[in-house]
Amino acid sequence: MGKVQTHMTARICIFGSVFLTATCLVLGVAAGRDVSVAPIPSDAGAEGPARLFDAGANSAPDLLPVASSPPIDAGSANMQDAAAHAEMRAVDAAGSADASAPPAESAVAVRTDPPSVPVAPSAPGARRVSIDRAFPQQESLPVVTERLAPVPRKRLPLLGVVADVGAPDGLIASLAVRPLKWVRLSAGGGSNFVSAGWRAGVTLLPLVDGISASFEYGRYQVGNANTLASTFGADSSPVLERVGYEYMNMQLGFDYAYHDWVFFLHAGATRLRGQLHNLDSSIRDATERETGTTGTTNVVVRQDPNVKATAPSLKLGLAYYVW
Amino acid sequence: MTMTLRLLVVLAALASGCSFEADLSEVEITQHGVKVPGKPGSGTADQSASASFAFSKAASDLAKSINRDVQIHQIAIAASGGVPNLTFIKSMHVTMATPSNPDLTVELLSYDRTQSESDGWDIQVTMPVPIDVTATWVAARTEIEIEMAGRLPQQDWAVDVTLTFSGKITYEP
Repeated sequence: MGKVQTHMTARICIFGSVFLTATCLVLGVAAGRDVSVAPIPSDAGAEGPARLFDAGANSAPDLLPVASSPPIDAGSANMQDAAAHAEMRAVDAAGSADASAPPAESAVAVRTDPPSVPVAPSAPGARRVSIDRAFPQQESLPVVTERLAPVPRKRLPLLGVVADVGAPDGLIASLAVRPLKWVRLSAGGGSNFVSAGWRAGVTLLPLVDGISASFEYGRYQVGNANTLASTFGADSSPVLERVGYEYMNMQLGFDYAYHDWVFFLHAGATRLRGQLHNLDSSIRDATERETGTTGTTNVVVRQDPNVKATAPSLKLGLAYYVW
Repeated sequence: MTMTLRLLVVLAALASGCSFEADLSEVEITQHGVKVPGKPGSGTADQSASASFAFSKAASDLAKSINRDVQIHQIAIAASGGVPNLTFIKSMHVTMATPSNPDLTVELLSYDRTQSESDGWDIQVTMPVPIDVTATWVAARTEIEIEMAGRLPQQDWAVDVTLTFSGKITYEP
């Protein structure tokens, strides 16, 4: 039984070690770093770990001791040989790895004390190499090379133009500002084919691209809607002579980005507010048409009624980020 | 209500699938020429008479569309034919009723002329508290009944009856 337990414990330790090592490697790769371990042979017993890593071209070489140990005899010729060998290996490896990299990427190995052996850089931007510390008891010199690949971040365009069409928005052209990658502010003007109006709003993109939520407020001036009504075959009416409204959109949608272009489709609910004008004129017209004369009942609307409506809204648009 | 207005309301409500509300804060509906039969031989004694009417459909369609919070604020009755004024009326009762359901009858006005109002030509009463008549108003047919007492004219005469009210038109599919 005890044997089995010991066996299991050993297995767990082995798997745990493997798992931790794999996790570290995966995390290193996920972080955009190329992590590898390479032994550096020592031909004079002067062995020890040294860590080679990339650094910015303008940064000073850093020291990353892997383990604390007494400093080696810097005056040892063997040590110098070993150091030079290790340095050459490290630089070669870094140079070959960075052959296609921009000059800013350079492999650097550092040490705590001289000698510092200048090495002809094998890649543009390669810098001098030295060894860190040596551990005579080790057969080989494990070297960890860690390459910090610079991630060239493209700045998100800040300003853009947007054109969209929908109801009750009408046709709107806007300027857009993206202060954060998941926020788009817009404000602009347009027409609902009856009068001119404006609209301002914010679109939130929690995933930067894809699902979006928009909140907008707009207003249209009073205009004559009889022309539009006649387009659809409706009779002209006094009540359509002065049509104007304000509205507030709450929409969910989908924003699809392609380079600097964004296509979007938003749908949701709109809260509309406005006034109906000339209502009693409309009633009189109706009375006369239906009875041929003014009826014995007369209705007067002393105050224009306020109208509120909650309606679905839909919008289709295209944005282009110009700067 | 015109077809256009009806279309607007229906489109705004049904096409939206949501809601529509119009708030009419002051609407006057007047029935002109409500005839009251004369009372022959009523020269010295007080008599009573009654008249009733329903608002004509064509013009009252909008008013009848008001379907929520219908409240009467004021009633005005003015002479419109056969008599120069209404100073001979000593008391008046006005009710709103629907023939299909007598339980919905609402008394709008119970008026007794006081000494200070003896010179008034017309009768105009503002409600201290608006009277809610929504249930009666939204019925298919709404009638106004007027009962008057006083030294009434011997010949037929007519009055104009005006109701001032407020309400809301709502549509919630």
